Amino acid sequence: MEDDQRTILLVEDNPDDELLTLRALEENKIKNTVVVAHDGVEALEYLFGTGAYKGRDLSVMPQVILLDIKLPRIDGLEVLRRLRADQRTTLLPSVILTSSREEQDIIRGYKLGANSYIRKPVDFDQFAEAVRQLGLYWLVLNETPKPRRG
Amino acid sequence: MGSKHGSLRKGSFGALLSGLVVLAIAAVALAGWATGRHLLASMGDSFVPMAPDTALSFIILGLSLVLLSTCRQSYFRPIRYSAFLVASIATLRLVESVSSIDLNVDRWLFRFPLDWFGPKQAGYMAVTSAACSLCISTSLFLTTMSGRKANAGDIADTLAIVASSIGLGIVLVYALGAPMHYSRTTIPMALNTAVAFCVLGGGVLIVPTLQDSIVLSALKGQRLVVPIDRKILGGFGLVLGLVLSLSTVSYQTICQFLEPSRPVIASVTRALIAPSLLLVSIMAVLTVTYFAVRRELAQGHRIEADGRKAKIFLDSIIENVPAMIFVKDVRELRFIRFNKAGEEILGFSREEMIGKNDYDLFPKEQADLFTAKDRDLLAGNSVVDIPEEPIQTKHKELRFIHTRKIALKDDQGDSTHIIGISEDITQHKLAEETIRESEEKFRNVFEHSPIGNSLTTCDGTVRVNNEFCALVGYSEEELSTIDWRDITHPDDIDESQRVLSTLIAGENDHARYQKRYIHKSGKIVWADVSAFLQKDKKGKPLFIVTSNNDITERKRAYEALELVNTQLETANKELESFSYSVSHDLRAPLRSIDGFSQALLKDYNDNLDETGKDFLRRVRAASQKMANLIDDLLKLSRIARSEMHRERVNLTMVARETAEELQKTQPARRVEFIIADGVTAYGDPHLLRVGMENLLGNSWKFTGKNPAARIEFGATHGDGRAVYYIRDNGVGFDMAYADKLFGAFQRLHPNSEFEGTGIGLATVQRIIHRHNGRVWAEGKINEGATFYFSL
Repeated sequence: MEDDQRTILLVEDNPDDELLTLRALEENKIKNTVVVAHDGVEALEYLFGTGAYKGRDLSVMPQVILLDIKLPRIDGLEVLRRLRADQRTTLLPSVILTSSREEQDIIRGYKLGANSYIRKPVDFDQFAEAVRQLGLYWLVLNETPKPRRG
Repeated sequence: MGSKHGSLRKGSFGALLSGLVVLAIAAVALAGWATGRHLLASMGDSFVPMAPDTALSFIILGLSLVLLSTCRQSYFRPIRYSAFLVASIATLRLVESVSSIDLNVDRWLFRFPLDWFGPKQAGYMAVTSAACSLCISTSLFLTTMSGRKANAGDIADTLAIVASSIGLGIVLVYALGAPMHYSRTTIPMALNTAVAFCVLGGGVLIVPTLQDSIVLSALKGQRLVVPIDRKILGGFGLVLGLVLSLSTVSYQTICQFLEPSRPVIASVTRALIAPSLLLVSIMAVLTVTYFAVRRELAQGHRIEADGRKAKIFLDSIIENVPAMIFVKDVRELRFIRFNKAGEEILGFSREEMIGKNDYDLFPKEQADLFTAKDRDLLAGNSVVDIPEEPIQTKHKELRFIHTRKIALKDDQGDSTHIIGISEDITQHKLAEETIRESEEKFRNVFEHSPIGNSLTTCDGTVRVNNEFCALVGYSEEELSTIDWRDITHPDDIDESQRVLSTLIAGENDHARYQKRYIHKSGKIVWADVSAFLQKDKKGKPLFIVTSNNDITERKRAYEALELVNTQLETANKELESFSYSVSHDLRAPLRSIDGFSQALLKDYNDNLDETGKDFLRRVRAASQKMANLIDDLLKLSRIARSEMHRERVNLTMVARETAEELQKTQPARRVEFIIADGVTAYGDPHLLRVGMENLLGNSWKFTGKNPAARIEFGATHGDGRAVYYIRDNGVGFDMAYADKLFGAFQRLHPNSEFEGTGIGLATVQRIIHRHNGRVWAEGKINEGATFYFSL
């Protein structure tokens, strides 16, 4: 797959999971830029160009956000709620990628506007397969509206 | 009666006086004859003297009247003889006068010379005198008979009136100075004779008799005859007497003129006219009397008819009065009268009652009571009231009557009859009894109820039972002085007041609420109160009954339960967050273990020998297994926490779907599913599906080594409820370990033989228990197993 500026925002606090996810992307030849935020605050700073990401070119928005739920400071669902509430990010494809299989989490995730909900399998082979399909779908097949300038 | 006795005496005195006057007049006249003094016999020089036999007749009649005035019956017989004697003399004189046969009646007493008092025919009884004498004597005779013969008294009175009227007429003729002529056969009545007849007639008329004649009572105005009759009778008698006297005088005068020229006609006239006139006048008087009597009788009949009508009227009242009326004679206390209502009450017909006494009809103790009351009555009470007496009817049924007994008395004040009036009060008494029983029931329920009851009437009186006293710690006396607000928790006063107000306002007739009482000891007592307002027929409140159930313990237990529930909720929440951590945090390291093992195997494949690779594979398998365990544990806890929604679930369908799913997991296996049709259960659809999946999955798993595997699902009945079963012909199990089947992580087979976490059947048990059902299993090694559950 060609390396383009279509980035992936991975919000993941667990360094092991971060490493394994990147490995899975790599194994599946997904070369897109992966921006990693280690908690909800960092994710929001990146998305809205604040804090550590102050001055970031906001015309560049991730092609897809891979969002863990359980995060320090601001959790994944809250991140989802805020980006759906903001005009600039309200249409961004967001995939919840989490260990939880709680019915409650799934329902709340979709209610807040998640585009997909994927449970991380323990088996890495299965995980790698899931990541492959994710990349194929969200980075290749899926069409998104042109980002609107706020 | 006093007045009657008085009039008797008065009458007898008048009669006595009359008799004595007559005797005096006659005695004087006789003395005149005896001594030859004309004046004594005639009372005037030119007057005719009273004939001696006339005087004799007066002596007899006067004596009779004197005797009669004593009213003694023993004199009646001699009076009758005397009257008969006088009547005989008068009759003989009349016969002599009419027939011209000279019997010399006048000479029987005194053989005086014919010219004793001059040449005139003195000394002979006048024809009119004889007639009057006959009237009076007959009147006397009949007077003594008046008690025995009907109308005798009336005729007697009439004759007396005629005689005295004639006498009075003659007296009037004398007073007017009319000439009195003598002849051989015509002799005028002497003045003293006329006076004597007047007096004698009056005396006979007023003499008291055993029974007042109609005529006399008419004269006295005592009978129900109108006053005009008295006038007619008296006036008629008087006028007749006068007319008779005048005509006697006139016909004598006529005869006087005819005598010289036509002696024969004169004599015939004399002989016929006088007696005819007399006869006619007597007949006239009798006729008038007859009509008066008839009229009187008619009146009597009318009275009698009225009496009969009155009796029928009275009978009808007695008969139709809706109360038992009976009459008893006083001598033997036998029933002599009995009415319809009485027949209805007692069941005895009047034929059965009449002539019997109480002992013939009623049980002895009742008859004793009735008779005792009768005796009381006769002993002097004029009325005896018996408010309630039991009486046995003919059909041995006990009734209660309210009786009033009255003694009927005669003129002398002696009791003749007992009248009883009885009202049947059985229904009333039964109603009273029912009310009393119902009151007693209410009292018993009120008093002995294990609930504290209070009854407050509108005037503020309070009644409570022992339980209520125990509830609030006050005695009934204390409570009667305490307002309910004083023993009510301040926070509950308004609410209680509001409830009571709605009751009194009539919005509800009962209410239920909870309130706190303050016990005498100061502790709070919770009560579940049921209040009921009793109203009268007009809807006016009468009293309020409250039942106070002490629920302090219940409240305490409830509060404790609330606390436990809260704790449980907290615990559940904790468990939830724990599960969350388990599912999220425990899995993350597993992923790392597996992920990096895989990375090692892939990236460092060449640096690892086969043993190293095997180890890494085992690491990966173990982490996989642990992930499965975590998932199963989560499922189990989710089942325990999930909410239940019971509905009818088609288990047949669930079984079929599950079988299909299972077949898909291992399409190569050949398993015979025998699933009964139409099996349903009432439970949570999701949980039941999970349960069925686990049970069928269990069978699927343990029949894995049987090439002719068979799994059955169906339902039977046991203990009145449906028992569902899943039977397989798998490896079975040893019943010795049956109790371990349903424990979490308990396994009867090594993993090498059958894979599993040991959570499946534990999950089933949890599901069944959540339905308050039961699950158990039967099996034998290598002979399959059957799992049963009921909900």
